[in-house]
Amino acid sequence: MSVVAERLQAARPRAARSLPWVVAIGPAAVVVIVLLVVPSTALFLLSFVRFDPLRGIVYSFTLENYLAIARSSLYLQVTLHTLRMAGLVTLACLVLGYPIAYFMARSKSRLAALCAALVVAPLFVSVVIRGFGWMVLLAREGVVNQALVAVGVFAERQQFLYTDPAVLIGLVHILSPFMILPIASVLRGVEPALEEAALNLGATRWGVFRFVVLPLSVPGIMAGAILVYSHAIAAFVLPAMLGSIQTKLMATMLYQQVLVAGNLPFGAALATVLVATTFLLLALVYRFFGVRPW
Amino acid sequence: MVTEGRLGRLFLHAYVIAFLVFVLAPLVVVVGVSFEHHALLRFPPQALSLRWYREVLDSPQFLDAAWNSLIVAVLATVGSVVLGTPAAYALVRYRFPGRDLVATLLLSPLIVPQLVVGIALLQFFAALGLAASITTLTLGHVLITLPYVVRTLSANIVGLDPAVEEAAANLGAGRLQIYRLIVLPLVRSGLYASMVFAFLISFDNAVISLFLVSARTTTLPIAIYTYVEHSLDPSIAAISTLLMVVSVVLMVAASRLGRIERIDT
Repeated sequence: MSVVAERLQAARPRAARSLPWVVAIGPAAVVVIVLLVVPSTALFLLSFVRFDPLRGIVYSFTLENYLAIARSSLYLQVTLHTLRMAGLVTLACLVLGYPIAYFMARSKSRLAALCAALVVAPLFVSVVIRGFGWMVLLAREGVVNQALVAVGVFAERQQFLYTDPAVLIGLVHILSPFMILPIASVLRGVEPALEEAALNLGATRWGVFRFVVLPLSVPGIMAGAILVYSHAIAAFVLPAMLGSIQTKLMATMLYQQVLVAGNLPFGAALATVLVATTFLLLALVYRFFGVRPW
Repeated sequence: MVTEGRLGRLFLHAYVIAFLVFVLAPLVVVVGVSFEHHALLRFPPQALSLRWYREVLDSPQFLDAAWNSLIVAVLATVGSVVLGTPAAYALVRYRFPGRDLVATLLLSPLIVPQLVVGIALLQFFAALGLAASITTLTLGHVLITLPYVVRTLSANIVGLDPAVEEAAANLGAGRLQIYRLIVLPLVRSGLYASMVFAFLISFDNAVISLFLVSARTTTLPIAIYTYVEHSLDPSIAAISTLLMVVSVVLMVAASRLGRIERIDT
């Protein structure tokens, strides 16, 4: 919080001070507790309950659901595949998004204003629609195939849709704003004079980037990477639309167990693993970089 | 800028434009395909017609879904703004024990993956014996829109000078009067912006809804999602285009009322 905000708080008005904060904040807190904390806790507890294919949920304690995950090589593979995919998405968002963030932070041109608007705009379009757009683009008769064949990259049309690269492209498309915006906001706070000073002192453009701009933007990069990574791990709709049936990610697996197989306890265990993985990651980053992920 | 930077700048501009094409391509294609006359997902469309718009607007399946989406989004917006506005005010203006904890609690619907929130709510409502209805769906949407409202509004309230409220108090205004006559009008733009955010987040949501809808309470994104699973034709493009128009109109409104980048995380 800024110094100004601190000072504003110190000088809070008398009347407001006497207003019971409980009344103001209570209802919202109760709603989140009832609709999120209680159900998540219940889901967590459910992961220790037995599931019988014939009788359904049997209320007796078991670690069977977790052991099943640990024992099966399939789930290990799925987990690793998910983490790798999320890693690739994060890396792609960083590499593709960094120049955009830099441009948004430094340029005052019309293009920069347009850029700022267009980077944010897709966030307001349902992920289902964006997924559908990629289905049209990547289809066998789609624009991407037409263009690649016309240019001569491929002799014939390729199967892009329902493959892992399609999921990767789609995820980069929906998650790149989460990388670009934090980096841009950090870069806006970096004095352009620093770069000019380095240039005047004889640094090359690459040197300025490598030793001045990049290190100063690490907090933005970390914040963006966390956001993108944690969203990518848990992404469900887009992989379900663009991926193949063979593409097994943690989220699609989880959905299948709960809504298709109806095995809620096992789904609950998978959900616990998913959330634990995400939180562990957030905690690590917070511990080592001191970046608050939210 | 020195001349050696000119080439670099040219590259940067070219790259920015290429990136914007990447960002817009799937949206442009959807709009384009929606005007194709034949039952083909062809871009650019060759035989132009509004056939699919007529078909979509005659389809009870999509109209019911649109109606459900609208009701849920309006109710969720009202719910999260009513809950979130006083909460945001209290978070900014008061020091109290566990304040950080409460702030984290209110933002936690953003931190827990939506898929998990959806499953947790599904089994929670089932355990309470509540069948899927507009009410349960709305509750889910209030939960996920609340953090956006709290954050947008606290950012606005931080910028208010408490001296104004103090002056009102010294002149004899009561707490509720201050709240209603001073604070709310001063954060009006933030209030409008957070309403638009909440509405759009709810209106476009697919993940939470996937777990909470029934055949009767399907929302538009879910109708699109299930339709695409078994058939691909331009009617989906038409309904998507209509949905995007709603988003764009509201977003333009929001950007006039407040800074959109606040929604970034």
